[in-house]
Amino acid sequence: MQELAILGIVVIVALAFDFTNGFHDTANAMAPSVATGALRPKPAVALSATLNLIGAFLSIEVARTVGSGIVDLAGVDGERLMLIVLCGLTGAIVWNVLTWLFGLPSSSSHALFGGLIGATIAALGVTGVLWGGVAQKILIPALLAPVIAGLVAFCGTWLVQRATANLSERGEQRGFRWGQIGAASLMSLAHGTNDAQKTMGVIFLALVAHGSLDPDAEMPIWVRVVCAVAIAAGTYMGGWRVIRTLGKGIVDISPRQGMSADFSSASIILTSSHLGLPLSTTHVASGSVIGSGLARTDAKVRWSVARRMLVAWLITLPAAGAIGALCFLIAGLFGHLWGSIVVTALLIGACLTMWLRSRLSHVGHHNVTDEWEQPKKERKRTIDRELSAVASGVAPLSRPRKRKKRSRRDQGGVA
Amino acid sequence: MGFDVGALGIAIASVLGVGLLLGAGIPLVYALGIRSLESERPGSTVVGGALLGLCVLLALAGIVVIVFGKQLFGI
Repeated sequence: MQELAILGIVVIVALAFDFTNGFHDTANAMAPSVATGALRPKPAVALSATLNLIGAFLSIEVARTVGSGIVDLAGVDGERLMLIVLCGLTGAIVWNVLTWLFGLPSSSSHALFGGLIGATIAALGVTGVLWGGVAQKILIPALLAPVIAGLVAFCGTWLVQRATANLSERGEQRGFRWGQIGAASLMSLAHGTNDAQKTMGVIFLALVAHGSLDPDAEMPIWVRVVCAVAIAAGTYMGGWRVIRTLGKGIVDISPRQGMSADFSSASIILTSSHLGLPLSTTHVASGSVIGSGLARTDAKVRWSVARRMLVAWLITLPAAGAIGALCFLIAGLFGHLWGSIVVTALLIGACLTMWLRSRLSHVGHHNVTDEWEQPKKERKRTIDRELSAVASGVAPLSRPRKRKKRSRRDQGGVA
Repeated sequence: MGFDVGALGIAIASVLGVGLLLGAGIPLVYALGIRSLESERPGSTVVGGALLGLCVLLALAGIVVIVFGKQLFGI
């Protein structure tokens, strides 16, 4: 009975991770189309959600590779194994929501692997992690994914620019709009084939640990359905903060660029899904956007934003791992069942806090396409407003202060 | 846990090859199609339409090979 309760908690938290994966990664497919105005924000996320749902049913190659070859959980008893998975998922969710709060497109896959590695180290020590597998399946692909995507997008954008150098602006807007919508759709489909699989793999692992499934069994259909629905629902929510950074922050995207970036990302992710190579869709999409920006001579890549993103990529694995390990240590104080309940309660509390914090500077479908670099005066006003909001905690936003000219009478203190 | 550099190298080369072929090839064909549609030469509309149709076919073929390649063609 206790095992079943822990399994239930693990499945629910896994679906919550799938949901955050969806809303965090909507940007990967739709940011260029939303930024160029090829699609309006709401229809964009609706289209992406539908195609993620379909994509989740197309392939299960990646699901087979999640966890295998990265952590050695053989010989760990059922409840303890499920607790490791739960703490790993908690680390991944907290990191996903935190990076969303800062509008940083970081990898959900790395957060998941980091969380699992951290929880495994806390439970079994460093010998529980297969470091060769970590290098082969996580670190090397993480280094290569943005480079390959950038190279492909650079070639694509360069060729397209040369082929359509004399095209009128109207022709570009009209002609490339449909190409961009098609490429973004392909990218959403590719995302569904890749990312929904990761949660399927985690739930499969928990079911095997519980003893409900044989390790060689086929993926149950209910697992595929609930994972597909969770990632589609998350995608429909739209992680507007990340969409804004990827679509407007790194480089000002033109329709030609957006189409090339999306085709580059989609082809790389579909191929890696087919080969069972767990590439991060975020690294691929970001690499494509930067590569397509470099191919244009009339657009500058904002390296300060790219640097922030790179730092987030570098610390994703250790940060999610540290949270996963901490959760396992906390859970250890309460026993398996109560430990699971406490960790889940902490997770809910952390997510709620970050969501409330996000309301102070709300980014939604209404302002996602606003210019990244505001005029100086307006930017100063925004900073003033945000500072006063932070300083006053939960107090309502005050109007921007205006420096008043004090009259001589005021200065002299005469009423 | 052995570190299979060969298998990783093959996977990366495949991803790069297919990426360049489809990821850079399809946008180029599409761009040529758009240029033909804009052009006022006789027959350019037909050529443009054919190139755009080719893009759709290439994208669909890519999906079929990548997703159902093992069942249909053993690759």
